Order: sequence, then C-alpha cells, then structure tokens
Amino acid sequence: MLGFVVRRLGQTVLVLFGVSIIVFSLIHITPGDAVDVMFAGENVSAEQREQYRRQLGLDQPLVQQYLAYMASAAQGDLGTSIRRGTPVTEIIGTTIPATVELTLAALLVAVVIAVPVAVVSALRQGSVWERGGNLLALFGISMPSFWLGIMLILVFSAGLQWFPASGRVASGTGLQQITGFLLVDAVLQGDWAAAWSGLVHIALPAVTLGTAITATLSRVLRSGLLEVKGQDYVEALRARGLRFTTLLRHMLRNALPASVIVMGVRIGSLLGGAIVVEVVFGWPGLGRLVVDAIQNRDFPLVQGAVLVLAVLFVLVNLFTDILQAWLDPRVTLTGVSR
Amino acid sequence: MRALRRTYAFLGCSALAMAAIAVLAAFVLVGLLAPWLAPHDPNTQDLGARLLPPLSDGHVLGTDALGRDVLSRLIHGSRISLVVGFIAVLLAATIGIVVGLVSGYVGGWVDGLLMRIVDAWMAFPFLLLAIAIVAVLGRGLDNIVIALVVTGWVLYARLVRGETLSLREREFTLSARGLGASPVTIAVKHILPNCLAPILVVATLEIGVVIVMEASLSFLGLGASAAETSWGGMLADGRSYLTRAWWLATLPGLAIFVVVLAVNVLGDALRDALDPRHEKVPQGSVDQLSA
Amino acid sequence: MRKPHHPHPRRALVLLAGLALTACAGGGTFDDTGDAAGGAGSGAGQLVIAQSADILTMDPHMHRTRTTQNVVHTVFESLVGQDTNLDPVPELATGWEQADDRTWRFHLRENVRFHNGEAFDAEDVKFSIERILDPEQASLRASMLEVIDTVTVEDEHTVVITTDAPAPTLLAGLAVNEIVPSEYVTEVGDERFAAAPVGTGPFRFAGWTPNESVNLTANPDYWGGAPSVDSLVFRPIPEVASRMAALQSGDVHIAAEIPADLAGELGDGAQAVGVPGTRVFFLAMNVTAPPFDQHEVRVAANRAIDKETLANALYEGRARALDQPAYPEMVGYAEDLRGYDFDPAAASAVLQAVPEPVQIDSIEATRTLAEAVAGQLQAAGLKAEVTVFEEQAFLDRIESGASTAYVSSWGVAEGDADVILARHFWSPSRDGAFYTGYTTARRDDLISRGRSTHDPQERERIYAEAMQIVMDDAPWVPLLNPEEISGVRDSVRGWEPSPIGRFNVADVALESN
Repeated sequence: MLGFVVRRLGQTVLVLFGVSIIVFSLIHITPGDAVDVMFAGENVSAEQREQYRRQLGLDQPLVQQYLAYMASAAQGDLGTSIRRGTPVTEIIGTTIPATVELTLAALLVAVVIAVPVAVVSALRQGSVWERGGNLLALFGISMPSFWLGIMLILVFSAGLQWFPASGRVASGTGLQQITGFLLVDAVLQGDWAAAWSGLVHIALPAVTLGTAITATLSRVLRSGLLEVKGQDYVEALRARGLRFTTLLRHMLRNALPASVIVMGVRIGSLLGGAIVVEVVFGWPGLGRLVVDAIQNRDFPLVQGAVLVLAVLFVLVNLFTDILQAWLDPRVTLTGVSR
Repeated sequence: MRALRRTYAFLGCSALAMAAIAVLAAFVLVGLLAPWLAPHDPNTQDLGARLLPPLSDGHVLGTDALGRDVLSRLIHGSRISLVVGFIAVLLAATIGIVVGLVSGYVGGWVDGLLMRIVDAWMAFPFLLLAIAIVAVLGRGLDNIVIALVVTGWVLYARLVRGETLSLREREFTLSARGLGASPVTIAVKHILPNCLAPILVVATLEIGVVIVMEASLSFLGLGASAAETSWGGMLADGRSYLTRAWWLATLPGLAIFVVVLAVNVLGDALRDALDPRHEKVPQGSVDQLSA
Repeated sequence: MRKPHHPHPRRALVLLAGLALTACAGGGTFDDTGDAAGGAGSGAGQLVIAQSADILTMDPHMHRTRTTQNVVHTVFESLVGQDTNLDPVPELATGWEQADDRTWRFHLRENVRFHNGEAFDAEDVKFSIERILDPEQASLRASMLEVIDTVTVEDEHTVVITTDAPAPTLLAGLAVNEIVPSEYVTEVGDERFAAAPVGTGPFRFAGWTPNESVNLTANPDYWGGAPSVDSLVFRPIPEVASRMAALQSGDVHIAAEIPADLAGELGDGAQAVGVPGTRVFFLAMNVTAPPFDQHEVRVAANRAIDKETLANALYEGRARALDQPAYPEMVGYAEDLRGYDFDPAAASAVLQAVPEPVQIDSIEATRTLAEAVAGQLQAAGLKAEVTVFEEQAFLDRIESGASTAYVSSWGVAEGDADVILARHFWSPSRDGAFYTGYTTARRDDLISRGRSTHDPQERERIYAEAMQIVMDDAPWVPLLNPEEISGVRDSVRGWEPSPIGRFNVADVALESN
C-alpha cells in the first residue's frame, strides 16, 4: 500500500509539472503580452514599454521565465495581477473557500437526493418508480447546467422572488471571516440572520451544480445496489428474516465503495462545472475569477488561477485514487483502472 | 422495415430508444435542410419587430433583440451543433483509437509514456482546458472543434488501450502473428473490430458532452463568433432579456436539452445492448458534467 | 514610488495556503460593514449601489475604469468637481485664476482633514499630481495630466500649476484625478495605501471583499457636512438581469447601467431614471484601405444609417441621434452643421457597386449596435458582417490599422470637443491620426489652435469649423449618444444620476422602506 501511495505521489508531481508547463506555454502563445495589456490605448512609447518589460523580466528567454515563475510559485508567490496590482495568491486565496463551499453544498444536495432515489429504484425494480427514477436521472445529466441555472433564476428569483439571483450573502450583515466558509463562520458567531442569508444565496447555485452529479450518483449507486442485491448472501440474509433497515445498511455498505470510486472521478470535474455555475450566479469563486481574468487578459492572474484550479483537481484525483486503493486493494497491483 | 424491427429488438425493445433515434434523425435532417426549412433568413433584422413573443404574426417562436426570427435561428443553429457534435467526436475518436492501439499493442515504455500523457491530460478539468485553448486561439467554430478534439481524444485512447491489452494475448491474435501478419494488419483487422462496441457507446455519449461543451463555451463568450448562430450563443444573448423576453434564453436551451437527452437515451440503450454488465464502459464514466 | 515586490516565504502547498490565506487576508469580513472604522452618519441606513463591475483597486491613481472611479471618488476628492452640465465647480479648491495662459493658481479649501487626521494642504496636491506623472509609478492616468509642467507650493493653501502649452482642458483633467495624502502614502507605501486608503471624501473606506462588495462608512467630519446615510456599499453584479432582480427585490437601492430596452421592466418600488450621457457611439472607417478610401463610399455609408430608428428601436428613444462626433452639451458642438440625412436610395446607388465584403469589428459590449448598423448597411447593398473581438484584440486591430471598419464609443466626461477630436483626428496624437488613419492639414491646424486658445467663443468657432471639416471628409459615421440610465428604489431621496455615471451620494437619504 505504501509503495502504491509513493508511486502515485511521484506520478502526481510529474503531472503537476506537466500541467504547469501547459499553463505557462498557453499564456505565452498569445500575441501581445502583459505590458501591452497594461498600457493599452495609452500614449506610451515603445522604449518605455521595453523598459517596463525588462523591469518585469519579460524579455528573458521563456525557459528562464518559466523556471523563475516556478521558483517563486513554490514559495507562494504567483506574481502580481496587472489589472489590480495586488498579489495573485491573495486574490486567489479569497475565492477558493467560495468555490469549495459551493462544491460541497452541491455534493450534499446530490447525496441527499440520489441515495433515496437509488435505493427505491433498486428495490422496486421494474416498477414505475424505477423507470421514473431512471428517466429523471437521464433528465438530470442531459440538462446543460447554465440553462438549468437560468431557468431556476427565471422561476425562483425573478418570478417568485424566493431566492436571490446572485451573490453570496446580503449586504450589511457584518460577518467576520474566520475560516472563509460563510455558513461555518455564521454559525460560529451565532449570526443566524447571516447564516440564513447565506443559505438562501447558496441554494440555487448548489441545486444547479448538484443536479448533474445527483443524476450520475443515483445511476451509479443504483447499479451498485443492484449488483449487491443479486448476490447470494443478500438472499440468505433476507431468508433469515433480517429487518429491512439492517439489510439496507448492509447493501449500502457494500455498494457505496464502488460508487465512491466512480464518483471520485466526477468530483474532480465538479470543479470544472463550477466555472459555469459561478458565472451564471455571479458566485465569487475561483471559476468566475478565471473567466474574468481571461476576458481581461490579466495574464499573471490567469496563469495563477488555472494553475491552482488544476492543482486542486489533481490533488482531489490523487486523494480519490488513494481512497480507492484503500477500499479495493486489487487496484494497487494492477494500476488504476477506471 | 425489417431493419427497424431488428434495431428495436437490439435495443432492448425500448420504445424510448426508438424515440431517441427518431429525435436524432430529425435533428440531422433539420440541420442538413436548414436553408429550406427555415421560414426566414436567420440574419435578417427587423428593428420594428423586436422582442416579439412566440405565436406572433409570422414568427412562431418570436423574435430577438434585433428582430430576427427565433425559429429560423434555432434551425440554423442546429448546424453548428451537428458539425461540432459529429466532427469533433469523429476526429477525437480517430486520434484516440490510433494512440490507444499503438500504446496497447507496442507496450513497454511507449505504453508507459503515452499513458502518463493521458493521465496528465485527464488531470485537467476539460472545460477549463477548452476555455484556455479558445482564449489563446480566438473565437470561431474551427477553434472550438480543435479545443474539443484536443480535450476529447483521451477517453478513446484509454478505452482502446485497455481492450488492446486484453486482446493482445488471445489466441486469434497470437496465431495471426504466428502467420506473419504485420502489426498494423493485426491491429486493424483483428483488434479494432472487437473494440468497436464500447467505442460506439462512448462516442454516442460523447456527442452529447461535446454539444454541451460547445454551448458552454459560446455561453461564456468564447465560442462561435457573432456571424455563426449557435444555440449557446443565442442563450448568452438572451440572458439579459430574461425578464422581458424569456423565450430567448429558454428555447435554445430546450433545444440543447432535447438533443442531449436523445443522445443519452440512445447511448444508454446501446450500452445495455453491447456491454450489458457495464464492464467496458462503466456507469458514470461518460456523463456530461460540462467538464 | 513603487516598492519592489518581495515574495513571502510560504508553504508550498498552495491549496492549504489558499485556505489559510483567507483567514490572513486583511482579516476581513464577508461584507465588512460595522468594522471599527469609526463614526456613524447623522442619518439612518445603509445605501447599496450595484454596478456592472468590481473595482480594480482603491488607489485612485492606479486604474482607468469608470466603475472603479465611481467608488474611489466617494472616498477621495479632486481639486475641482463637475456639475450636471459638466462645468467645473469647486471641490478641494475653492477658487482659481490664470496668471497667464500657461499658469494657473488654485486656492485650496481650509480646515480639511484626511480620514486619518492628516491635514490637507498644498503639499498633498503637489505630491498627488507628481505621483500620477511619475514614470516609475506607471500610473495609467498619466496621459490625462501630461500637459502639466510644474506644480509649485506657494503657501499652505495655494498651489501654482504651469503647463507646457495653453491647456483649456486642464480643469476637466484635474476633475477626474483625486488627491491623496502625501505623508500617509510616503509612510506606508503603495501596497498598504491601497489596502487601507485614506482620503478627504464624505465616506471612509471600511473594507473590500473582491467580487462581493466595497464597504464604506459615513465620514462625520466631512467638510461638506456628514452624509445622510450611515454606510454605503458597492456591489458588483455583472449580469444585467441579476442586477435588476436585486434592485427589484430591494437587495440594492440603486442599480447602474440599465440598458434602455429593459428600463421599462422596472416597477413596483423601483423606477428607471435617465440623464443624457457622455458617450459618443460611432462607426469608424479606415480611410487608407478599400472600400472606405473612397470619399463617396464613406458618404454613402453615412446616408445608409437610419439613426432615428436605431435610437427608437434599440434604445426605446433614450438616445440622441448624432450628426457629428459630439453631443450637444459639449464645448465645441457645432450648432449649424451640414450633415448627412438618411437617404437609402442615394446610399444604395453607391454601396451596391462595392464589390468587396466589409468586416465590421466590435467588442461584445457594442455587439447589438454593430449588428444593427451592419444590418442597415446590408439593406443598402453593402456586404457587411460583424466580427466580435476581446477588448485587447480589438484595440490591437484598430491601433495597427488592420481594421476596415469598427463600431466603438468614446466617453467624453470632460465635455470638451478637444478630447475626442484630438484623440481621433489629430496627427500629433499618433503617426496618422489615432485609430482612423485620417488627417488633414487644415483640421490639424484648427485643433492645435483650439487647444491653445482660451477665449470660449473663439474656441467654439474654431471647433465648429473643425467639426464641419470632419463631417465633410466623413471618416466616421457618428451614431448615437445614449442616456445613462439607472434604476432607483422609491425609498431613495435626493439622488440624481450624473452624466458621467458618478454617484453623488453625500446628500442622499433613505426613507424607511
């Protein structure tokens, strides 16, 4: 097991390097560089721009720039945003908790809905429930998340005015940041008005982001449950007259690991899906930051944000791989098989 | 007729699957016949008839902010989705199959290297990679297809490699090799046909994924350029008018939803028919999550 | 004075660092009101304003966007302000006079303090202007004040500014550049200054949560009297529909940048308020390349556009059709200009004969207008198509002369024709006039004279002539001057939108709603 972990860690480091190279070269393929962006439309002479380039180190060969960048990145310095003039790390740091909070909320929504649906589907096989559940799941994965988000805004926000259309919390609550997770901080400070406001604001985005995973999770869990159900020992247990809930617990316990494995892959890509949802709902997270930065041609910020996003993604994948290996030891021998 | 009946039986006697095929056939037809089907030119403006609701005179689905007919734009928009859906998937599959075959057959360090690359590739959230590529290359349909192919080939590579590995040691391969057949012949004539089933399933499901990704890119303003009417672009345009003209954002999204739903239903049915125990294409491995 | 950036040794695990950083980053709050920044206003309540974008920084010298300036200007102030007619009024300067055509003397307001207690005096004015002009500072606003030669402190409350050449637009330039506290900035450096800004304005900075809100509290010691609201919050909501939804539900009190064709949607507690804006929208044509190198094609293009219909359809009448690159309130607007009427027959006669297709460039923000213009050109027989570019790519194209035609806008908050004429039609601005490649000796000469003359009537005459020449040569099709429309809740009293999109909130009060 330890050997597996070490190997995966080594692979991850290599992958991270690869990712950083991809990100770095993407940025530098674009015509026009940071200095051009900074002085767009200004009467700044070519000499002044050259001077500025030299100051920022942009005239050095790419490889050197890359190494310098990686060196400072390792120390936590990802450069300075052109548009804002503040350190990139700081800007990114303020957005990560928002994205993580949204992702976790979406996962929660998914679990809460998918588990009962999957259980009912698996137990009442062939019935209306199963077909209905199946169809609903299909609907869920077919709906483009931005469309769903807009529809929800149309109905629940602009229409019924039950939920707000953007933002994380209402203005004027004066909530102090402790962990950066709004709901946690609100509870820690006993500020129930802020907690309620936070819940109301996260509801629609979480449902939007959660819908697709809900569907996937329910399908995966259902297959897993069906597989378990078909196995002999389940029949035996049932023949013994075990109570329904206990039986259910057994089945879930056996089906969940397989689902976690598959979900592990999707959880990572949730970060990608969050990008669109954050843009639709104006959620101040890392995804929206990336899109804004790309549209503003804020190169250092794009570089840093994409790098961090990819790193997060890789780390989540690593974690789920290790989890998978722990749950299913065969994996350590044959290599990851998804 | 017999073909239809056989298909029906093949797909598990599912009326739903047949309906899905019908929808997709309609989608393809509409796309191909767009110039003749559309009641108006999708780009003709009528500033005096802006933002008309559906069921208005002469505009069954209403008009947009510049007075252009929504139905015609939807019909022409299907062409973008068609092109993107099929071409991007075809190209990605081709590249992925070749890489997978080479990797699985040759084995050794080539396999190791290629699979490391695949791993690194899959380490990226696909939408993010596509966004970055389009941001660098600029807007436009061709760049979107490039971005989608670049992000999509890995799935096929992995799948085909797995199949190749397991088939490589089987008797018919060994005997073919013993008879002196070249690796290429073996790959194409013996191994590839056995991979086709899972490839078909994945490709079908990927069409849906790719269509949504193109729509997402257009929605974020990074997709098809202004002159090309894309469903995602229509949705993005209609967003500001949500309260005043709900149909501008709702209808394009509905179109995407229906097409993707049909694709997913068909893909599921195919999977049940070709891979009933979900071994080769596990449940949940190709579900679109826009990422 | 830019301090070099020192990387702080931090843990290499950026993921964990990110989480830790949120706790460290300024020790902020989620929306930072009620911070220990001091006093309450004399009145009640918190006013919330929604804009389309977040601020870039709180340092008044290190940005160049309107949305940032609107916020910054509630904390900082300039020497002069602008009234609704865009005429200069006293702000931190109580009066001024000209000793000669290159020397200006400003008398400063006394007994004004910065939010940290530092006294405002002439040193601060000198420091601020020099900071903007300092090449090492690399301020994006330097070009606005480049005509300034020296700034001298005559005494504690008097400042003398000399210019390289006669500068009739000096006051307009000073109006949009704020004064910062010299001692404080020198002491803490740029980064800390931006994180904890201190100005003379009616509101004090209380905190900035990026992409969420900027929080300000009333300054009870403001020289103009304490504001009528306790605190002010600016929220960036880029989505128009969301911004309007927030206004409608009462989450925000004022929503800026409401498009004209959605203004009618507001109701039930909120209404749309418009004021003539200061942006000139135009179609620019590259006169050095076919087909627009031919004068008659450009004239035909002018005749093909039905601006009234554009104004009525796209802006629901909340825009003025322009016959010249200026709006009526501008100094230099030519009253009796001979322009081009909408004449589709005459236009088609010429445009149909143009063989090559024409690409019209635009950014996303002006896309609808560009497409409508292209549609009208197409109707007249020209094969025109719109291509949308990202802002940076767009600027590259038009600066390099690669663009055949483009739709864009120019904001002239200064209210003076010199700004738009000099920028776009004056050779010394760039090699071959900025962006259009169009220059005429006679017109250059006129513009030069207009810049250096001080007699207002003489200037009007000069500019009127220049405008006529520009329209005769027709390098542009001037399009529209839209209203600036904001949505306001009924509970807001005493607020008027400003033509340059500013928020003069010192006197605004909230009724209990």
